[in-house]
Amino acid sequence: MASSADSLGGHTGDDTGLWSWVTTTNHKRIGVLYLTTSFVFFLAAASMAMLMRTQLIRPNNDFLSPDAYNQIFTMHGTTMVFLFGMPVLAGFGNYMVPLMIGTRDMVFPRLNAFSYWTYLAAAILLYSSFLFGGAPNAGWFSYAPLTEITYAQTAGMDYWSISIVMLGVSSIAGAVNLLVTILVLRAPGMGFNRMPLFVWATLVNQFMILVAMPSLTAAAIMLFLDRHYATSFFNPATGGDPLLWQHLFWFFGHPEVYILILPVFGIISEVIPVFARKPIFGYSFIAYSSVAIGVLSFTVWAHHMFAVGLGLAADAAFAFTSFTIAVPTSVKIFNWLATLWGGSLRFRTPMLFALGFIGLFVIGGLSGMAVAVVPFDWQVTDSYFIVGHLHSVLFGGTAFGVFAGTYYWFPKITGRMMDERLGAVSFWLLVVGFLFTFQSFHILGLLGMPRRIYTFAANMGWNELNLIGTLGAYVIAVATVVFLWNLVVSLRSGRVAGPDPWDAWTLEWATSSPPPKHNFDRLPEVRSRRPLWDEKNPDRADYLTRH
Amino acid sequence: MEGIKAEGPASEETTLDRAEHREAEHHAASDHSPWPFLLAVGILVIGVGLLHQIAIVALGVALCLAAVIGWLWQPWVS
Repeated sequence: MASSADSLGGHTGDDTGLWSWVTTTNHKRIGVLYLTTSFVFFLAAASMAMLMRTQLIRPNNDFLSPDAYNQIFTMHGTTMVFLFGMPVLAGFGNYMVPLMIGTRDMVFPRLNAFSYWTYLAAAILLYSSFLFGGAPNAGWFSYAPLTEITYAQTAGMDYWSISIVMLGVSSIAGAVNLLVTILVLRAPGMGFNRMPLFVWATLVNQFMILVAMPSLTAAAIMLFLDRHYATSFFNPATGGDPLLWQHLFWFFGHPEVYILILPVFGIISEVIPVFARKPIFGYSFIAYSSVAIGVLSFTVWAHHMFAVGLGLAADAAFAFTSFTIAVPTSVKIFNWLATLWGGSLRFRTPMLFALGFIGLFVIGGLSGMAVAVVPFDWQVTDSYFIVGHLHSVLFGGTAFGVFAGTYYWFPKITGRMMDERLGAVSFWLLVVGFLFTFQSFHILGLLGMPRRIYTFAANMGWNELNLIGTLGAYVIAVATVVFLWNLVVSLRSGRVAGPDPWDAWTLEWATSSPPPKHNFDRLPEVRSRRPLWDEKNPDRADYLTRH
Repeated sequence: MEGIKAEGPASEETTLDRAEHREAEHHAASDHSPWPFLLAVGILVIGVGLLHQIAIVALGVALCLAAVIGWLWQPWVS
């Protein structure tokens, strides 16, 4: 491993080389491993998206076979959710949380390493399915009975279920670690009411992972037993119930959407005040709305099942809870807008992505409200409208937030600034690509195009919108290449960042960039929510006037 | 558990005391361990065994046991 990579974890001297990375238990190195590995899988999943969009660029296309298309959309979804979305946020959590709460490492450093290596092992196992009879092909939520041995006879689903179990073990171990770290290792003076909002969001997120992940892990074990040991959990032919899979999956699956977005809310809550040069508006409301989202997210799972015939009472109850969860989410949006109001805005790249996030995530949120209306959901279930909604939330939300976090914390992790001009080019290309691709999906869904079809007839009226969607996806690909180029150039020759390039206020900026192995030579006193502001401005310190 | 107890303003003395204390802990500790990696490899081998040849599962279990024993044997760090 190159010496520049070794320095990313604050390691110097003899503590370098491949073996030191394999055996590391340092939270910063493990954070870097999570971030780089998840980005590799992002590129893999994005490449699969390009293959799918190329297949759908025109009617009756034969660029991909139906079976290859099924495998690719399954691996695309599984990779984006489990091998990119969750791990990239675990990477930010690993690297940043100990720094933000002013501690030296995670509370269980070896468990931290175990979480990462189990995640990587699961990913390798899942991708090796391409070499052994074909990848899984039943979609990322793998509905029964399609996944039973009768209908899915290749080993792809077995690779999927074992990998999911391993990822469940990895996620639960990681959640325990982050949770306990936040609860017991905060710096003196950092009560709950003074924690950075990213730490708040991460705290709630780990609770959600702990409650949600066992459901999917158990379901994946049951699926494997059904396929190989003659149990009958999900197979109706032998007395099982396929709806049991849907309940178990979505009890995980809907909280999962918030697991993928809550830490991003935290990132946005860190970026916006720093670049608006104002304290965050409504700190308590933002923090407690995360708790509300965490609790409510476990009450909405059956809105994914309106079309299965749960009955009017269940449909009404889950529609109500689905509307309710929009309230704490909206609280965050309005607080961010209020923070921007009257601020001295600095439109640096992290801020661009944070503002882009607000606008684009709202599109996804509003289409989510639309599908919470039961009769409307019946119309668009399993259509491209759902694909458009999902991607508006996860791309406009999670991906834009991850980009914001990357541009914001890259100087801290590497000691170098990313190029602002390339950052802006990448941002605007992503916005344009996003709007063309995923808004065309919404309209295609309203026109009746089902999701997961590998081709379509020329007389359906979907040709132009599919062409627009594919061209938009290519624009996203170009934006990603620009981002990659920016990463490489900035790592090699970016401007030296210094410890606090954004003039920020939380503790991670109180140490060098990258931080030393032990994180802090000296820890600022925590007497308010902005300890670094207090230290830089003792005559205007927050603790003199508030908190 | 000091983080939870330390609600409210902390004196500078307390903060520095704690920082020095942690520094001492840090220097006493190793931040390298091969056992988490080996445990993950063991789990991977169990997975491969379940998929291809059940006898391989025994190898995976042996690796996991070795990793757990090594994990417990290596002195604990802070």
